[in-house]
Formats: sequence, C-alpha cells, structure tokens
Amino acid sequence: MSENKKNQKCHFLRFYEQKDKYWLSIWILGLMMIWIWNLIYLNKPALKQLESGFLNTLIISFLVIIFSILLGWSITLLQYLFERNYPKIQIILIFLINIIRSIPQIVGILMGYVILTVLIQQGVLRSDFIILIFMALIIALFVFLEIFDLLRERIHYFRRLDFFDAMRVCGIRERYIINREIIWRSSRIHMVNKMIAIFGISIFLLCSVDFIISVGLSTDVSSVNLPVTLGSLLAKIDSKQDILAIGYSLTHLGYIIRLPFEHLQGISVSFIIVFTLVCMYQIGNGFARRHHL
Amino acid sequence: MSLLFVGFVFYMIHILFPPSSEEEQYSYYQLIHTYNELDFLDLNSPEDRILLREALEIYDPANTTRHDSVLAEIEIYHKNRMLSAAGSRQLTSAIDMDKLLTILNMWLKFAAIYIVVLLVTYYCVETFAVYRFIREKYRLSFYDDILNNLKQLFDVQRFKAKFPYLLNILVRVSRTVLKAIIILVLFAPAYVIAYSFKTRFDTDSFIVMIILGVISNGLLITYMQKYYTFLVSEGRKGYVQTAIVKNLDSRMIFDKKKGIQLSSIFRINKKFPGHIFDQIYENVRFQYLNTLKEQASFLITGLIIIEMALNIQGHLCYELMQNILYKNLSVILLILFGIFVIVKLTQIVIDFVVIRQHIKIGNISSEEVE
Repeated sequence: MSENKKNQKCHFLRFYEQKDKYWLSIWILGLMMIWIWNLIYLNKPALKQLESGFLNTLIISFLVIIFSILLGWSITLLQYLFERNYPKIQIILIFLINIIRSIPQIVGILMGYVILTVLIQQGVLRSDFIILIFMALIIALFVFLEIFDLLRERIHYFRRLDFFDAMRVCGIRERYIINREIIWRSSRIHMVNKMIAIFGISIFLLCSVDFIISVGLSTDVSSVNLPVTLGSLLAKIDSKQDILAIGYSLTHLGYIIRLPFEHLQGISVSFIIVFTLVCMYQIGNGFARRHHL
Repeated sequence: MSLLFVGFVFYMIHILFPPSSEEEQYSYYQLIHTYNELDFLDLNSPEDRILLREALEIYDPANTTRHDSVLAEIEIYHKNRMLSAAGSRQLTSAIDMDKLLTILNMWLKFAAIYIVVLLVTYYCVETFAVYRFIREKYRLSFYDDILNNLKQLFDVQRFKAKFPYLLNILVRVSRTVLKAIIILVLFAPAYVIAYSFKTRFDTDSFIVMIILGVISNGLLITYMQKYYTFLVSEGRKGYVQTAIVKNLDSRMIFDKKKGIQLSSIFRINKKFPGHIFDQIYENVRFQYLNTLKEQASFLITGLIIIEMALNIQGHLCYELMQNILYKNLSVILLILFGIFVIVKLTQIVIDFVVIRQHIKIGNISSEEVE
C-alpha cells in the first residue's frame, strides 16, 4: 500500500517536474474551464463568436508555424547553396534578410494586412480559409527568421565537427547530411522549441494587429472583411467596456464578483490571450529544460 | 548600407506613386462639385443625399451602381472636408516643411520614449535575472517547501507548535498567487492593461507610455528568462569550477560578509569584487549584447502597438495609422523610414559596443577592426 502511494507520489512529482507537460495540461484544463463557464453564463451569439475567434486564432497560429518551418528551412538551404557556389548572391540574400529583420514585425504585418484588404475588396480572395492562409503567410514572413537563424547556426556548428567531413568522405551527399542528419535528426528538438515560441509570438502579433485594425482602421480594413479572431473580438465595444470594468473594480472591490458574470465576453477574451501567452512561455521553458537545450 | 538601400527604395516608390491631387482622389470629382454648387441641396445632410439618390434613379434608372458610387464618394468627400476643417488631417498628402517638422518632432518623441524604455528594461532584465539566479541557488522549490512544511505540520502534536508551519504555508501560497498575478500582468498585451486602467489615469502621458512599454507585452519576463539562461549556462563552465577549487568566494547567498551584497545587485554598474559571480556576470553581460538587438526590435514592436492600439494622438505611430487610413503613401514611407532608422541605429550602436568589448578582452585588435 505504502509502496503504491510512494509510486503515485513519484508519478506526480515526475509530472510536475516535466514542466512542459504540466503547463500544457494547465493550458488545456484552463481553456476547458473557461469554455464551460461561458457555456453556462455567456449568451449563445457571443459564445459562438468567442469559439470561432479562438478557433481562427489557433488555426492561423498553427499555419504560421507550418509556413515558418517551410520558409526557414528552404531559405537556409538556399543560403547554404549560395554560400558554397555563388557567394555574391549569398551576400545579397543575407542583406535582404537583414532588412526584413530590421522591419518591426507589427509594421510589416500591418502593411501585409493593407494588401490583404485590397485583395479582398477587389474580389481576388473570397474564401474564409484562403484569407486565413494569407493572414498566416503574412505573419510567417516576419517570424520565420527565428527558424532560419536556428538552422543556420546548427549547420554551422555541425560543419565544424569531424562527422560532417567523415560522412562526406564516405560518399554521402551533402544534401542528405544537412537535411537528414543535421536538421531532421539532430535539430528536431530545437525546432520544436522554436515552434512553441513561434506559436506564442504569432498569437501575440495576430491579436495585436487585429486589435489595431479594428480600432484604428475600421473604415478601411474592416473587421467585417476578415475572419474574427481574439484580437478583433477584444476591439469590439462590448469587450472594451468589459475590460474597463476591471479598472472600475479596483476601486469598487465589491464589483469584482460581478465581473465573471456581467462582463464575461471581454474578460474571457483578454484572459484567453494572456493565459495562452503565459502557458506557451512556460511550456517553451519547460521543454528547453527537459531536453537541456 | 541598408539605410541607403531602403531610403532609395522608398524614394523610388514615392516617385513612382506620387501623392494624388484632390481631383485624382475622387473619380467623380467634377460631378461632386456640380452637385455641391446647387443651392437647394445640402449634401452634408443624409436626407438630401437620399433625395439626390432618388432623383438620379428617376433620371437614369439603368445606372444604379454608378449612383451608389457617386453617393458614397460624396459622403467620403464631405467627411474628409470636415476632418480637414477640424485640423485633424491635411487633405493633401504631399510633404511640405510644416508636415516634415511635425513628423520630425513626433519621431524625436518616439525615439526618446524608446531610449528610456530600452535602458529601463535592460536594467530590469539584468537585475531580476541576477536576483533570480542567486535566489534559486539556495531557495527550495514551491513543491518541496510546501511538502516539508506539511510533513512538519502533521508530525507536531500540539496546535501551538503547528502555527509557524501553517503560517509558512500561507506565506508561500500567497507569494505564489501574487507571483502568478504579476506574471499575468507582465504577459498582458499593452492594450489590455491600458484599457483596464483607462478609467484610473491618463494613458496618453509620457510616463504612462514608458511604464506600459516596460511592463507589458511580455518583454521584461521573456528577456529576463534569456538573461537567466545565459547565467545558468555560464555558471556551469569549467573556469567556475576551477575558481571554486582555488577557493575563490562562491557562496550564492545574500550576505554582506560571506556572500553577495543585496544592494550591489540593484546598482546600475554592478560589481561583485572577490566573488566568482563577478566573472560570470561580466561574461554574460557581453554575451547578452547580441540578444539586446532582438530585445530592442521587440520593444519597438511593443511601442508601436501601444501608440496604435491606444489611439494616442500626436504620436508617430498614430500618425502612421491615420495616413494608412487615408492612403497618404509619401507620409507612410517617411514614417516607416524613420522607424527603420531607429532600428538600424540601435544595431549599429550595439555592434560598436560589441567590437569595443572584443578589443578590450583581446579577441581582436583595433587594426583588424579598421
């Protein structure tokens, strides 16, 4: 019996020490609790909007990860190819990448959104899913550098080791060594770690840019044209009033109890954003610690 | 080089897409003018616009879409006129001296806020990471601490003796809850914090901008973690072990005599003479310089979000947003170039400091730099 208890305790301790899994469970449980609470207390149309906003945000962020991996990986290979065969073109490529690096992400994404709106207004983009893909692509264009830097650094590191030359002497193609041995076999965990970070940053950027365009550019880049996300939901007047109620409750403490009942939409949206960001940060840190990155 | 390149590209865009005149902005400009000159029609009034729409329908029923476009343009034209009269925007998108000076003034204000926030965040990142690094060396984890106290609590029989353990648990739990709240605030995007407190103070002020820039968007905590990771990996290096073997002071405890002085952590110029941590800190400070570029870039994104999301009038990014709204390409390009200059200047300054450090520690000679 006591052995059983000890084992159980060890299981829990092991689970608690694997912070990434622990925080992933907290994130999923937290989201489920919010959903159940909203199911009980939030009106149906608002709940439907909240669900689609969250789902769209999630889909876009996952797409950002996929596009970032594809962009980062292919540009790393391109840069490697140029470095070996066409050094002058490689300088131009690095120069252009550095320019993208110097553009603040939010400005680049905002400009991308302006182009997106023009395309929607001209009827080039119609389907909601295509718009989601386009939104993800715009964000990926300004965050893929994290993957590019990582892969470049990994290739650089492994090229200095003996195994690279040894494999080449054995007649293994360079393409194979880089793609399979270095990137896939030896850098997969590093890439997953970056993917977690990209997921967090893309949620932050997406919500921020949607909030900005809904607040400031509402006549031009209308939120009606774009799929609803957590950011655009937060910019709605109801949600803003709900957030303002938090400030009010600081001086009227008795009002706090009314927040999760009367100001549920705004509180839920802002909490989901902040909670997701915190959890992603903790998952990333836990993952890095567990794999000694 | 990239400054010149981007400047040239922006200039070429400006030349290729010159600011449109008022006549070019509205496809039905002549028509709008003709309708405006009719005395019996006040196109500012929605009722009169509906009357005009109905009259056009009767006169030319085949062109319904065209009538809708004319009416929509009349509405935009009057709205723009009204805004212009209120002084909130200039109708022409050309950049004259006045506009240039206004934007320059905004740019300087933005740059000043950016520099202050960058310095404050750098100080906070460094200080909190050092504090955490030393505290984690001797403090028990939450789980272990609570477990120890619970064990003691159940071992002791008398209620009076249980009290200190109960208090310990209470203090530890409250501290963790407080920490969780602080972490939630630090990760909250600036607009969530600002809207939460908008009823309490003026979010447009310089100080509030700086506070928001420092505490919001997860900037502080993300880069504090990076600095902390640098400290941990540096602390594991061989020279640290050698120094410990050679009896250099290595006690990671806040103590004036036999450890690290707490006050020295909060100094701007941190020094830990005679302690192994002094060397760890110096090395990490140098390593972090490259990450500082990343931090600066993220900080600019954060500041832009604050100015745009909170609609802070008279600030550079609010002006940028307004000009995106009214498609004033030349002003947009000018402001974007201004922001690009700030990013590049930061990178140049940091590179300069890195090279100076390299020369100082003898990694490269000054001739090599030249």
